[in-house]
Amino acid sequence: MVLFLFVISRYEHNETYESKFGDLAEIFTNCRAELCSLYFVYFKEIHKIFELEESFYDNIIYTIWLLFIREALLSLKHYNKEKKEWRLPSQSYLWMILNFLLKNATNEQDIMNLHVNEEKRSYKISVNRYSLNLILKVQQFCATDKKCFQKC
Amino acid sequence: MLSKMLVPIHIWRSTGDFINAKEFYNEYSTVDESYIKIHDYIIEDSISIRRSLQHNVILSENGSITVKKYSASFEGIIESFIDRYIKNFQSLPM
Repeated sequence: MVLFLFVISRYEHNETYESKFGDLAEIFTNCRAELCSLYFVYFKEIHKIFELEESFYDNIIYTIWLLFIREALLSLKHYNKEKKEWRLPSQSYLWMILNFLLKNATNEQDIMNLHVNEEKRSYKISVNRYSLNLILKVQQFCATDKKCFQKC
Repeated sequence: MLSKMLVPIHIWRSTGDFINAKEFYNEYSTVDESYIKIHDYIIEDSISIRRSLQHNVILSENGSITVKKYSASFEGIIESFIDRYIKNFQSLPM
């Protein structure tokens, strides 16, 4: 994974993050916080702070992802499908993260499987434990191995 | 993959790059047709937000304390708020 980002703007005098980004400021702040928390889930040092047993680590990662996906789908209730806009834009950050992961994953099933039951008008989410670990492993691998850049 | 999203967001924030941030938001905040169906099920299942009704305790001039109760309805909640914050309302310029 290689990121090419060019700096094309800067803050002028008297400009702040809130004044420049307006409504988007809160969304991106929430996005950053949520992404950081999902990222830190994979660090054993963080689990140690909360005095959690090592045997539970995998279960914790799994549960947090499952809860995150559920919350992201539930946040869709703030979306107005007729107007195609968010009634509460500040609540769109969870969906943004999930949507980003789904669109950028090599295989959508790596992130989650969605089983829709039309008769019962319900849905079921299932998450593959192996692919959850893959999300971070690919990332670490790419950061350390130059040969892998092209593959990702 | 998480950093693929986190790093640009951080750079946009640091450099005040509203144009790219807005573009990113417009792209990923949209809901695809395949998820609109789930959207309907979520709306059907959603539980309305819980409201709490608080009774008020009134201290009378002779020192006795009485509890004022309200009906469990929206009217009750409004009455409870008015009684609780009546002093704040009175100080406001009309």
